[in-house]
Amino acid sequence: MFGAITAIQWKWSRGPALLATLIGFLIPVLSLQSARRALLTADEFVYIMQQFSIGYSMLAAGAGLVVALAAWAHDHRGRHVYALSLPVARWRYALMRFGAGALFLLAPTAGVLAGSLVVAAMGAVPSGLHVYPVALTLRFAFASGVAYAIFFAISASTAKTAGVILGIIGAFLLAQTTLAMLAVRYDLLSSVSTLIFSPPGILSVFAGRWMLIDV
Amino acid sequence: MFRRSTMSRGARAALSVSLSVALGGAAQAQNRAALEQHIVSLAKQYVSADSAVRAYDDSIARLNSALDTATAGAFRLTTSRRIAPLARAAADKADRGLRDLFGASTTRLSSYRFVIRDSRNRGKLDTSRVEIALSDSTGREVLSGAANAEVEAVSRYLSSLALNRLTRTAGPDFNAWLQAQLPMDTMTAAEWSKARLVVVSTWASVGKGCYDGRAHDCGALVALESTNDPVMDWFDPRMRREAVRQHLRAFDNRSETRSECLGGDDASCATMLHRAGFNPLPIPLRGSLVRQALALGGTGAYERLVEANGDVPTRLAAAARVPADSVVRAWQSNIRFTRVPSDAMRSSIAAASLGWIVLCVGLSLRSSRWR
Amino acid sequence: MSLAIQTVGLRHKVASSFEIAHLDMAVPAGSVYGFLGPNGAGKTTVIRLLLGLLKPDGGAITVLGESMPQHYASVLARVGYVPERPHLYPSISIEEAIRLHRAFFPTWDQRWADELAGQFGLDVTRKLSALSKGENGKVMMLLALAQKPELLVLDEPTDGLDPVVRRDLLAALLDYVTDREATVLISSHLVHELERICDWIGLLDHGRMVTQMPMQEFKNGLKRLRVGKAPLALDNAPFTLLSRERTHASGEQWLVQGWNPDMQEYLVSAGVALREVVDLDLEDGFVELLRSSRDNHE
Repeated sequence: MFGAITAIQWKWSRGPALLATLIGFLIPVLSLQSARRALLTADEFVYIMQQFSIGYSMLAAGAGLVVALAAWAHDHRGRHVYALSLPVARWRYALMRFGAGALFLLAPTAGVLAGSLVVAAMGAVPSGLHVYPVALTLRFAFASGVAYAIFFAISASTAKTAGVILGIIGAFLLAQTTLAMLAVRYDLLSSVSTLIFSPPGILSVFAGRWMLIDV
Repeated sequence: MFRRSTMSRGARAALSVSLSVALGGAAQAQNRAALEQHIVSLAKQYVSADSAVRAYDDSIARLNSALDTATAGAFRLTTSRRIAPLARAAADKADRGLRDLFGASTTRLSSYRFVIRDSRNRGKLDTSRVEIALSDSTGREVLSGAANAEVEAVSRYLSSLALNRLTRTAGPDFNAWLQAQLPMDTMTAAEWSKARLVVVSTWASVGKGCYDGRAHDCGALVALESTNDPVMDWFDPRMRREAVRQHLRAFDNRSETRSECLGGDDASCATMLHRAGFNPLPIPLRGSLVRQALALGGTGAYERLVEANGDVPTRLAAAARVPADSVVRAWQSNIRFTRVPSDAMRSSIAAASLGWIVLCVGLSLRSSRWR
Repeated sequence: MSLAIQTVGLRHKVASSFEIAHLDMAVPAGSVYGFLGPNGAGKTTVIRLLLGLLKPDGGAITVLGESMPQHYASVLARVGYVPERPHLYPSISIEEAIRLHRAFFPTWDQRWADELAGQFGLDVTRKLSALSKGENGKVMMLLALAQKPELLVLDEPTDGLDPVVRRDLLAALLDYVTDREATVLISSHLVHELERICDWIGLLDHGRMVTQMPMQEFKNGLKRLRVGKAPLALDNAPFTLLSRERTHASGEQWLVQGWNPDMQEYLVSAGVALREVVDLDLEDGFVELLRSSRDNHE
């Protein structure tokens, strides 16, 4: 069953997954080329690498999102009639869908690892700096996993649940606007952002430094 | 800063005559009138400012007259009655911390008085904040500020005020070399990594030399060693040209020398850099060297640092209880070899991510069959 | 008589103006049960309730001896389902659909699937999105049959299909039923089509079961009687009087169920003059039943 689901889901996800793999390979290589092109001091080199680091987090989020949507899109289109008519418990079906998508995310992760290892092998790093291919790849793997899990969960939910989630986001924005109109000096947006992006927040893996080359 | 001063008419006249004689000639008669007017104006400003200062001092004195005094270790306190327990607790805490670092040197604080009083906001008592000031022996407040009305916050502020006074005794040469407040702690691994980045990023060749293992270059990097001509000794032609391009942009922008330099003439670059007195050694590294010395010296290191007489290497050696060379070598070793795990991935991030993934998967598995 | 499907007091509210109300349904095992009803009667809703695709508001459902929707996974392994509209993934080919489907059904017969593909004239390399309505219908039937189910649930399987395709599908269905003694629940509003293949009939209207009985009994026992001098009330009638309407001064037209010729004696004894007995075909019977059911409810 898992094999059959994986084969079909790969058909839907392979385009984005392979594209993400290519991008994942290119970001480290391009970042090193950019840094080397200008004759920079070590701190400027680190700064350039940091500029590229946003690419990793965006790629992780994007790959997770697309693979998650691809997992459920065709079932949504058919109103889940086919999936619900199969002789398999709903939770098992969802788990198999999740597992298939998680496998596909290994491709862009491998791309990042390959690109990072190429950078490490090129040996063009200023003295005092070190290359961290494995650490970066692990972070990418976890980040894409988190993004995938979040969007998978939302996509797997019913329209009612999705409406509730949107309602919560809408209520939050309304609360922020109301506070501003009442001249209450409490930044709800900052508080929530801190909660989400600071460890152990749900998006904390995306925040911070994604450094392939660092001191 | 401002002293009470009135100039008598006679004195003003004498001054203007002196000036006109100095200037000489009929033409200066007009200048004399203008000068007289200017002097009168200045005098009025002096008087006005002096009155303001006196009024402020009087108000402070009135405020302080309603305060209690107390002593907590090296701290002589003047506090509002209401917050006296808070003030004493904070001062005790600050005193303990400073004593660990400065030992008997903290007795130098006895010539100061630390004032902690209620804070007012538009005349109303603000119980969440307190005002803290440092008064000299004449009762004049030389430093002041405010902090949250909590023991920890007040203690921290008292410590910083005390440190400001204590580090003044490390000597003007040392302070001029350090160009920062005396650090109170030792370096963490993450800070060594940042220091390493500063070392390898410095324009001067002594940075790379220090990182590559040359202790003499490390001494130059932290300005313990000097050279006759840093521009020629510490920079290669490429870096001299880059230095002119990036650091001397503000002036000589259109000069011929600059154009020649940027065109590849190293002598022009050297001329410009010599003229500008270019010697960009990274100042923050000196603080890390001091922290290395304190780490080596252990208990009483601060006391020895501030009590020692002599130049910077002498003070560092006294603090560390080893020769200055050894301090520099220990510092160099940490610069080269102390590493922290990469920022890119930490176990806390992995654990949090795994937790959230499991939660989201759990929610997915509970997705309803009913659509 | 064992039942393949049974519902007792089944309730489900679809919208404020429509609900399945206290539906009692019984599909005998091994029968071909025609599930009749006009458009919007609730046939598809009932089928979805039976298969656990919708959650009932009340009542009990038993399919192949197991309660639904609690045991949907084990029941669906024994059920072949052809829904009203294509429900497969359009972007995959027939071959891929077969591969996906067979992974879930241990009873899958690949040889027979290949046979059916040939019989239906399907090119298995073609994508489902490229198929016509009829071809999609054939694919769904192929998948449902090749898994060798004990119960086949077909929701308007021939709706909108041309006669050739309809014939192919029904032929395959009959072959299967003959070989396997499976139970078939087939819903349709095409009455004449069901007349050929069904041995039980259930008529649904506005979420209510109007009647369900063996086909023969339905066809033979449903008559229109033209009578005269009929009394206002009939006591102990041996048939079910579904409706009566006055046609002229002394004449009436009755729709009765459960008629047989011996019942003329009763009419004589009741003083009713029997003028004519009109046979109704399934479609006529269907229409008359619906009409009388709606009149009674008004």
